[in-house]
Amino acid sequence: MTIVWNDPINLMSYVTWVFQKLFGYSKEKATKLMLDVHNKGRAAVSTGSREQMEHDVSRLHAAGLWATLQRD
Amino acid sequence: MGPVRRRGDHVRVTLDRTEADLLASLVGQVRALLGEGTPADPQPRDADPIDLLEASLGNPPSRPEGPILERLLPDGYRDDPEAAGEFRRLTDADLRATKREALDQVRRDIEAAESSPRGRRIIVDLDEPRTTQWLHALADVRLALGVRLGVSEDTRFALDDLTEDPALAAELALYDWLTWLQDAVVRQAPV
Repeated sequence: MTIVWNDPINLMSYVTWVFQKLFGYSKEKATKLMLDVHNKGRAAVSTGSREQMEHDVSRLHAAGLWATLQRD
Repeated sequence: MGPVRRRGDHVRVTLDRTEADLLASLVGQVRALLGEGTPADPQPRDADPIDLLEASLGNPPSRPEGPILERLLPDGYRDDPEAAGEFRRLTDADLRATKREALDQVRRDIEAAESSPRGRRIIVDLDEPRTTQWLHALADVRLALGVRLGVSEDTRFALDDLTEDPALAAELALYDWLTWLQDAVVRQAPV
């Protein structure tokens, strides 16, 4: 799965927008994930094959988010 | 009418000329950190493709140097240096190129922007892909500046209280301004 970690610099509004834009999530789902990142320090934002997850991590890095890939 | 407005699918950003010049300079600095476009080393024409492949496999991109680059180009795996190295080998060149492209685009947009009638402001009109590039570039510039300033979860920008150092105060004010700009653009950005 793809994990996004909390960081003190990226804006909550921006992180929500990235989740909507990259994954096509609704505003509600994207906001919930953003709040999980903010409050719990991390959130799993997508799951799938290793190849797909590496693609997602790379796109999140391009957006400046701190993301890593975690094997289940 | 704020300085960042939605016009159909486009986002229109109006900046003071001095702000725009500052932003162009910042994106240039971050872009320089990311290195040049790594033109491929000229290879002898009769080089064995297997040798070339082995050479490239033998020289994976090293971990980025310095806290700013570490944040802009993070590891793809935590606690697994081998997988992180392999991930970096596969993605590093593209990631740097994508980031450089976005940063260059912001600078070009500022340079090509129309001036307001009196010339004190510039107006940039961003379509959807361009808006995304601006937001990504603004994120990278804020990350670079934020890492340099040591921004933490507890940082509160009470500028007057924080410092009497005018250079530091100027950087903090700049960071605040970038925060305002990115938030204003993201609120108008199409998803």
